Amino acid sequence: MNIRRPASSVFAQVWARGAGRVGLVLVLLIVAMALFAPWIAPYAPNKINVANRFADPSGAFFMGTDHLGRDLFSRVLFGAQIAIVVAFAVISISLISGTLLGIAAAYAPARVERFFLIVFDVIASFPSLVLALAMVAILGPSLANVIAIVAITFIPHFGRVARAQVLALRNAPFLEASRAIGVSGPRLVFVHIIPNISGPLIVLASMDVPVVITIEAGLSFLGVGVRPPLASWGTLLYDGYSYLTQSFWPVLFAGLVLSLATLGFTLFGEALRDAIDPKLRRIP
Amino acid sequence: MRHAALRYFTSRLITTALVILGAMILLFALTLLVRGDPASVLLGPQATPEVIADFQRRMGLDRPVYERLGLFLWNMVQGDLGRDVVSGRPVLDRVIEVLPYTLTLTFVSIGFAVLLGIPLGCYAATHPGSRGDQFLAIASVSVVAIPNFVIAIYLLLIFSIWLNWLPVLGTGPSGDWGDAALRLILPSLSLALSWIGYIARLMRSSLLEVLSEPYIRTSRAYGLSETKIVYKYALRNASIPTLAILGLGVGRLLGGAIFAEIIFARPGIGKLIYDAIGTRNYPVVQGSVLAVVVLFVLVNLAVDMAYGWIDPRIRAQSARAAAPA
Amino acid sequence: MAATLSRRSTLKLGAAAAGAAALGFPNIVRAARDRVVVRQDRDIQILDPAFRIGAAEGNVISACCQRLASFKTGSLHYAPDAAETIKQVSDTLIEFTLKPGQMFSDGYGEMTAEDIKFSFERFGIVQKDGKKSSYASDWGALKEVEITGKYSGKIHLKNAAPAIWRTAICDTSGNILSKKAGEALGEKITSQLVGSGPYRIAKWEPNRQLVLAANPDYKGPKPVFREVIVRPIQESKTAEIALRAREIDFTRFEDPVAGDTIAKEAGLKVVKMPGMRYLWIGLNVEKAPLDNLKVRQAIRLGVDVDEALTAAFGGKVERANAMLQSSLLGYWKDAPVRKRDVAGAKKLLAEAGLAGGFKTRLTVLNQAAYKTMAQVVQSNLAEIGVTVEIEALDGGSYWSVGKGDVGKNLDMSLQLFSAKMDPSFTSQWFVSEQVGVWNWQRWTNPEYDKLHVLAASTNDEAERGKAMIRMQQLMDDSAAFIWLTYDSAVFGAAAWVKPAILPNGTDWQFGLFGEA
Repeated sequence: MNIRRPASSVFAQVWARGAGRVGLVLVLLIVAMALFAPWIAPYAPNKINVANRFADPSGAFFMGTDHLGRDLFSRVLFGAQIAIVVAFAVISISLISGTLLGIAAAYAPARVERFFLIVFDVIASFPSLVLALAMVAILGPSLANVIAIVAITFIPHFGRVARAQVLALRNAPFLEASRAIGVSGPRLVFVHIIPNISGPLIVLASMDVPVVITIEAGLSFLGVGVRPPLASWGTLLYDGYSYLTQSFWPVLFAGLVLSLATLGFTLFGEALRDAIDPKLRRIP
Repeated sequence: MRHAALRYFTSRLITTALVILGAMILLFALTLLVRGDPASVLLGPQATPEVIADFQRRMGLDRPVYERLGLFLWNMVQGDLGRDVVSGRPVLDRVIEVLPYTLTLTFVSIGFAVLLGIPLGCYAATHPGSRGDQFLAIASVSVVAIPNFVIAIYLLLIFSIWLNWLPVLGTGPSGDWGDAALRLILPSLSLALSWIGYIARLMRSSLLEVLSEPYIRTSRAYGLSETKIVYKYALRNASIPTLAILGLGVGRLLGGAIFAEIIFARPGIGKLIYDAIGTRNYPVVQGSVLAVVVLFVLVNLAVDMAYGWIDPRIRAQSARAAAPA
Repeated sequence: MAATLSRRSTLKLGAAAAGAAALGFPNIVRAARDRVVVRQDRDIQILDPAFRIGAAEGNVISACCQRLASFKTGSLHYAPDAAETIKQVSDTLIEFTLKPGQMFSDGYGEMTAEDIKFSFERFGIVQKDGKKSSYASDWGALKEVEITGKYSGKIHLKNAAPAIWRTAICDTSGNILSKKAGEALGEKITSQLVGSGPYRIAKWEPNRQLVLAANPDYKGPKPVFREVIVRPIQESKTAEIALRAREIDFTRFEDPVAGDTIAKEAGLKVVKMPGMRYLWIGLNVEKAPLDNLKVRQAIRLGVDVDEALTAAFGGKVERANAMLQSSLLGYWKDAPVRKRDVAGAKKLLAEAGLAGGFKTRLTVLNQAAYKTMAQVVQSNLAEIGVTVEIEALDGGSYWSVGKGDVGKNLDMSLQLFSAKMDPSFTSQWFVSEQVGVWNWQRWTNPEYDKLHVLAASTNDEAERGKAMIRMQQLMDDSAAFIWLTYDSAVFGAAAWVKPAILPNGTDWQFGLFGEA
């Protein structure tokens, strides 16, 4: 079944639902924060000013300052950048490789296909956070490592769905027709298959965004994500937690923005799912 | 029918074994990525000569890779997870020592999730469209989306720093069960909150689905009271998907417990891994990660088995993707 | 206090009591005053005086063992403890007789002069596995312990040793173990402490708690508390919360600002002492490009020490400019106070051929205050073109990161050592022999080594002082040390606790803790 629909109609449907509207607004807000951080931020995010540490929120510092007197608002803005970059990188890597592997699995001989499925199962069965911790323990903390590790654990997700979609599609008349006129290989995959299975994959991708953001923040919270002085929301939370008895503003604001981001992407993802492919719906 | 069930069980068993094997191979493969002398990099600066000797013996560092892998797997299968670099004690002992704390935390959290999530879901399903239902819909989406470590820090801030209500840190003096229970409230709640929301949503939808099925309509036609219909017939069937998700819940919570353990300064396997990374104690990281993975897959296996037994038509995987991390 | 409820009765009251507490009801206080819960910043690892990591173990050991002579409460004056009499006969001879009838725990019998010989001489003996005590120099002047009777003996020294009383005999390294137990236990001596002191170890749950219970066989004055519970809590802030929740009764704060909030809280008090823990950034002189003197000087000029201290300690500590603190013999009054000079630092880097800067690493103990300081240094050095990666390690691995060959890879490290009341105790860590042990700078200087030996083996104070100042000048010339502060010793305690803290702030006398 071809489920391609014009993007404008999908967005209209997302917008039509209250939750979808809230989600979309939050998502746009977060993305705008990330894109325009260098212009919106009133101060350089890493500029320390120890004379002004733990300042309460004020006109000059909307969210107050942290333990080094850095402007929290600016750091939260740049934190959005890291969250979005990591989410985008992880999702694109796992979406692309998962899709290709899923298609390959669907067209592969039965034994190879089974092997693929088992590998998918094995990877998907790992608690990704714990796995990431083990890898970081060996490879050392860095943004690139975090992206690579999290991406790997998300591949099976897309692989399974891609394979299932292809299987459902394999005998569709238009595919048989294209094959009959000699279309094959990459052209078949990229021109005929992928566009027709992209709906569910996009839904899945959008629903994974908040999960990836949470994992990145979690790893940074544990000190195994981005390195100081970079401002990830997770690092802001951990720094705030370290000085919780002195000032609670950092924790309050960093937690709030992180939660709004994950909530926004969740609501948006669910609305997108309902608009594109209600069958994917698992829970209301 | 019987045959199909058997095949399902066997395939689940095989997958489980493969996952555990995969985890071991992966943990082994990671050690190959080390540049320089594995003993000094993996064991860090504080390793004593005995620990290094033990490590070299176990890893067979001078032998070809496949032999080393075999040796590694053989040791693991025998339960020999290596030695703690700092204390020289077997890693298995350290894992077993802290495991009860993590398991308690996990199961209490799941308990909270079930005890609060199911009634809330029932309420929402039996009062669809009501204000309570609408509120629950919003609240449950929100708590599912908020990362559990944010919840944990907020709880710590509110109940410990602002209100000073509950003893929050650590597990308390041993032997004092009441005190230990008090200290469990906030950490387990921080883990459970998303699952309360999730289970409430799940329960609401499955109950609504069941209530619209023909046999319920028939019961209604026979004039059975609504309460009886809901609680005697519908609830039982509607609970099945919820129960199925619990296995996954336990698994996810095992991983998520690390945050609650760190934020509330509790001993546990997550804290063990975290501290071991901080002290570059790789054998402990390796052993405890493996322990978490094994627990995770065993719990899932057990639930899938039980579930397959009750209702072979449905596979527990069905609801996986949208569950809280 | 109107109502003192025990924790157990609080439980029964449940939510009601919690609600009452929220309404400003007096905070529930533990009625059972027969035990005190003490926080230490890391887990206890090795309960062996010779192989202890540091004060965390030392405090427990000193509570479970006796010494020939012991410090009085919170003081550097000492009085005989296990010894009936002990006196310095000459520069190189100390004679003692033990009190009879002092019994070791676990049935290891009575303490005799054999045990003294065993306990002291093992510091200089290389163990079977090649390990040597990193505290060997505490007893470095010891020639031998001669046994002259069941209870009497002579401590022969190689040379005059002005520090031997305060850093060996009365201190942690002077704790007396049972020889029989040592022989019977073998390697297990590191985990099973057999002593004769006011407490014995009742329960040891790693990472959770260590329970000291009053030792019924102890012959000295009974300790005030029946139990001392030692709980490892790494973070200063966590400890602060725990204290406010009355989960612990005594802690030191790595972050002295915590003292301000604690002081405001009813039922709690703050104890402040001048700090004697010295903090500095050590540069590994063997590791390129830090092996270049100009580069080290550039880094020293690039760091804003005052800013780092304000950030980490809220301006509550004084700046250090050399190794020894003002109360110690050999304090260098005229040590240069360097102001941050970005242009000067850049110029030095350019002269070293590193105008484009370089990448380096700063290793710190994983504690908010030190990480904060590291972040200031990171930001300071970024301005002179040096990129600093911060590596924060937990106690367990931090304390060994400069050891052995692994230490060759260390770049810069923020270090903190505890001082004792003798300058030679401090200066011993920077001699050539300590490279790969505690001298993480890997800086060696023959003149320094010679002066250290000289200062440690004479009783002439003027000469010692002069040597100490010269040694600090040599350190200053090396630019391998960026001195930060002598810290401040800020403690929080329940109002009813009277802690016994030695003047260095790190050594606590559990056996002498009292009720206020």
